[in-house]
Amino acid sequence: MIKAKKLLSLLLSCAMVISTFAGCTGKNQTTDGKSGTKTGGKQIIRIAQASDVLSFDPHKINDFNTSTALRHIYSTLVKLTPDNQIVGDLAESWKNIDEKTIEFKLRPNVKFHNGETLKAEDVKFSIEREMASSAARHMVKDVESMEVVDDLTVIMHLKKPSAPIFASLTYALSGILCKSHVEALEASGKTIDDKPNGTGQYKFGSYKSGDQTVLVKYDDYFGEKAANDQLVLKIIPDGAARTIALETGDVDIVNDVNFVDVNRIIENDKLDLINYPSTGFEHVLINNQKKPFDNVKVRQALNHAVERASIIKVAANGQAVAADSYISSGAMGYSKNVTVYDYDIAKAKALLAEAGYPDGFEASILVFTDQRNRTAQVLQASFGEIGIKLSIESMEKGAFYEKTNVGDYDMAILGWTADADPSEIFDGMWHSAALGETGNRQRYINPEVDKLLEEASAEMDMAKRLVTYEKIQQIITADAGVIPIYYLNGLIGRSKNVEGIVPFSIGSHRFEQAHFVK
Amino acid sequence: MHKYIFKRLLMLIPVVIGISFLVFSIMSLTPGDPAILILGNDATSESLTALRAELGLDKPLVVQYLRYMLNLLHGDFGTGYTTGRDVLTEIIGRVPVTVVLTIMSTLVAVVISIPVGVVSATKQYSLMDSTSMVACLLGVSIPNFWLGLMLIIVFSVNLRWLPSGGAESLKSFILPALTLGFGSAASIARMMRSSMLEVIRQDYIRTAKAKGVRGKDVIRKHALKNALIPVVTVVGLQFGVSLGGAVLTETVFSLPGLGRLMIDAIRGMDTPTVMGCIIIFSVAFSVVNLFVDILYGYLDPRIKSKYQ
Repeated sequence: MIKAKKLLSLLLSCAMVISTFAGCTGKNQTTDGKSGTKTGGKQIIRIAQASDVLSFDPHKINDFNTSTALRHIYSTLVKLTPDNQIVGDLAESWKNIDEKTIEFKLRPNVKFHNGETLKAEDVKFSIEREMASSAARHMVKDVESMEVVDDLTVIMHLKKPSAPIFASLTYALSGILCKSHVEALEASGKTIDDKPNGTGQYKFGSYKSGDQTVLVKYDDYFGEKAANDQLVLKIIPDGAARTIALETGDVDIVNDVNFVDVNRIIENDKLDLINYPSTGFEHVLINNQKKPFDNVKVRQALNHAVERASIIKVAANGQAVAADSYISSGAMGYSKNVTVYDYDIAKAKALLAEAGYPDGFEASILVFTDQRNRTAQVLQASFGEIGIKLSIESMEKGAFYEKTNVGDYDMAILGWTADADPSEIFDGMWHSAALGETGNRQRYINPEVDKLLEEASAEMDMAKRLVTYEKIQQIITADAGVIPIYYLNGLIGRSKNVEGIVPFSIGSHRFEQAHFVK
Repeated sequence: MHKYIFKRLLMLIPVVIGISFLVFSIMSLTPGDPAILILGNDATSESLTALRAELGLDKPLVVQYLRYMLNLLHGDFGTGYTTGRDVLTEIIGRVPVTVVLTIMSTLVAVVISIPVGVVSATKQYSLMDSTSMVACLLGVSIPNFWLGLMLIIVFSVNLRWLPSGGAESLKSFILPALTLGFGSAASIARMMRSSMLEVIRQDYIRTAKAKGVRGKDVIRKHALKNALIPVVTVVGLQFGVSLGGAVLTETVFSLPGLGRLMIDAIRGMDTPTVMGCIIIFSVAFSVVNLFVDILYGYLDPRIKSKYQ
């Protein structure tokens, strides 16, 4: 009897310990498990994403999943439409006073989540804070200073004429904060993470590190209000687990579907796959300054030896489009009048012979993901046909950058997701000033391209800029600076009863109009 | 006994210093630059240099380490490179999940393994014995991330009985605990079996049987306690293994635990967070082993008498 009591008390204590800890898991009782829709008739949309919201301070970090959350909390001066057009957000209108001065007129009566009204002073404060942040200052590098004219007018003085500045202002990194709120937080030793406050469609609800972030609809939003009551961003790092969560109804949307799970979603009659052209541009870097790759004929030969269809099949499970230029077809700056080298082994061999390497040579290629390793394997076979013995070096991301930043490599595979303005990818990848860690890792130097890039950035007329970018791409093709491989498809999985998801080709999708139809 | 516990706790200090130095060196020697990982591959050189200075990465390694240790002495684990959040707060937020997972998986392991080991030993070479030993072999061989996915497919996708991930309720911990506990159960069951086999061949067991004590009582009252002594060590060690295994299991089941925090930090080359996690892990492991040693004393009076 005594032993039975002892056993019972032991079991009870264990249960107590466990339930105490379980209570600490910070669960957020916002969803009701499988039903997907509501607690008390509320529309709660649960979205699975691979990584956590790293900070609620918009000026702190440039990260895909963090930006997705922040875009729903903070507004920016101007914003992007899904087809990459720039329209006003907090700015009702703007005009160029001269080529280095822009005047923004703000919307009246915009309320922050804490009830304060947006003023020009908040915009000045936010942009200046962005300029001082090491993580965000590259966005506003062309800004000289900010000037407040009145409560609803703010002037931006630029260091030089800058067309890309508008695209930079659409970023989550350029989110507008409430000056008095931030100053009060900082005075009390707190940070924005303790109490995020923006003017976006959603207020900050709750955050549990590594688990989930809850955003709650803001009823006083100045524009079209959210169609749902809450967004729950659930962190599911494993790709297979994200798809499973969609299948089991644990989430309603998967922000980032793995290539291998595409068929599972398509075959499930309750689920749907949104397949959109992303601005991801996958390419092979060739070290333009290293022998024998400093010879343009060698680079052209390599370009001719690439069979893109096989790579797309093997590396991207068919979820990509063969690259026909140096910027994705989903991005601003793409031109149909650019052609890249076709798959032609005979021509490749001839070019290698002309370059003085009729028997080929040995080279290595650096990769840091499985997907790129598979691309490298296809390249290994193709390059083998023209006598180039390619060895694959798989390494950690950090080690990869350490080598490619200083030009200590032959070839390497990398991707670049283009932004709203073409100057970001073109200046970053091709200007000689960006050599190395800033992005020109293929070490391509062409003064003519530099000049055209600068012209394009200073030109305010988009049509004229696009012509210049087209010319730049044609020169790059002639120089065979890199090997374009493919443009990635963006994949969002959704439960069929959720509609209103708006994919953006540059990523950071919007979910404010997502809602249940049944 | 108290002296002994105090001494053992004191030994934690060199352990923490040694481990911290080792991890700090490894993190620093690992190629890669946290600044690039934070700012992305299109950041300008100026931004990168500014961020490196902000994070103190421009200082020599020894200075960085000494500064870290000095702060640690004041209970300051630093702020994460990627998040800018206080590492200790972040860790405290994650500890409950890992603790619940590890305790539950250890319970699962003990509840499965002890009876299996006892039955296998008492019914040596029977069908039951062979079956359970094959199951044990499978248990130690199956990688736990695979087992996790299989359990998800059966119990979450097909049967819809349990959630596939998250830490919303205790129910969410059942599959991860089974996943993690199964491997440990296999090791403990094998240990239990061999330990029990050794004990039941002892003279005092034979004497007990000769006195006419019932078979069940011989096992329960005379053999089990003695056979448990080596098993307790294995359970303690398995607790440590579970902490390590939690890293994978937490990823598969999307549990916001300490293991995942560490993995994310390693990927982001976030040295302060990695250091914080490793220090907590090593202290936890040391304390559990100390606890096992103390438990020894209660299970075996001979050992306890040594500390008197």
